[in-house]
Amino acid sequence: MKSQNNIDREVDKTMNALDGLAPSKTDPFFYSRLSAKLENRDQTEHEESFSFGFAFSMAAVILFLSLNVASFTFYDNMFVQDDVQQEEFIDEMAYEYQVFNLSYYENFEED
Amino acid sequence: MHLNKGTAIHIKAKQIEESGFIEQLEERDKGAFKQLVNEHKDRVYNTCLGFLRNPHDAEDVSQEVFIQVFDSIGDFREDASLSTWIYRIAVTKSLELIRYRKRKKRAGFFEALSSLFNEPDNEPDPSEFMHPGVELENKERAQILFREIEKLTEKQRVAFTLQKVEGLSYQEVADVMELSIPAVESLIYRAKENLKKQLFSYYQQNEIN
Repeated sequence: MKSQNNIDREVDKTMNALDGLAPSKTDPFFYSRLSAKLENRDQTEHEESFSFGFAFSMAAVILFLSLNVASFTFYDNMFVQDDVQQEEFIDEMAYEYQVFNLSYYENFEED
Repeated sequence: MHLNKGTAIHIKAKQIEESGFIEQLEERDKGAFKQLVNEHKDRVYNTCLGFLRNPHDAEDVSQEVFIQVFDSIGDFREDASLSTWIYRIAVTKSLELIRYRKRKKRAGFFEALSSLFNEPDNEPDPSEFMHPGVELENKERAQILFREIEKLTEKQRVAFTLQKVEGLSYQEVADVMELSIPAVESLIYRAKENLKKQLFSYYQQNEIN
């Protein structure tokens, strides 16, 4: 059976175990390793930003070209569509106003 | 009176000197950064080691501390001293790693599962940690004490470690933890009381050499 006093004494000794603790030190190459880490990080960041910049400019060029091609195709189709619509409109108008002889004015002028 | 005036002048001169030094750091002066690292590296490492109880982690975190100082010196408000600010970063970074490790431990099931397929984790057990600065005759007791410190609440652990392991004054601990001195006194008092209870129970269950 452990006596209360023995335990109390041991607790006190353990509580004081860190008294006179000598500070631990880094090794002499700490700064060299730190500056190497900083340089590596800067280089990686530079490479990453370069590759990002390259990817960004390539994407911009591709987007620009795609937009050009798309707009060219779209306008081309639109003009074709306009022509078709215009012809349909004239036909409809002619039917609507029952204009069967389109050379009416020409004949009128001749008269 | 003269002494007070002299002390005030000395403090003012030190502040001006520190401001100049901070300006050099803001300009990314390598010489100033080297000086800063050499002045604070041992104390930063010692603080990290006190919390992390693993020399490799302590070195890694110390390097992270200086990288953060290098990156964010512009954010440093001169309402605290530079060394207090660096200490604060060291404590925060150490606690971040401890929290990360705890989260990792909680995900133990998945770790165990992945270890079936991967190499086993050779990380040293922090409970086996022996602080290199402990006197030879106190090594075993210090190991027990470090293990019990681990069981304290985070604030009590920080205050006790800074004061006992780092040897900071109550004022310095209060500055680092951004608390008042009575709050720090209370934290350290409660930490000591809890440690005594924990150690008592430990020695009741284990044999005393």
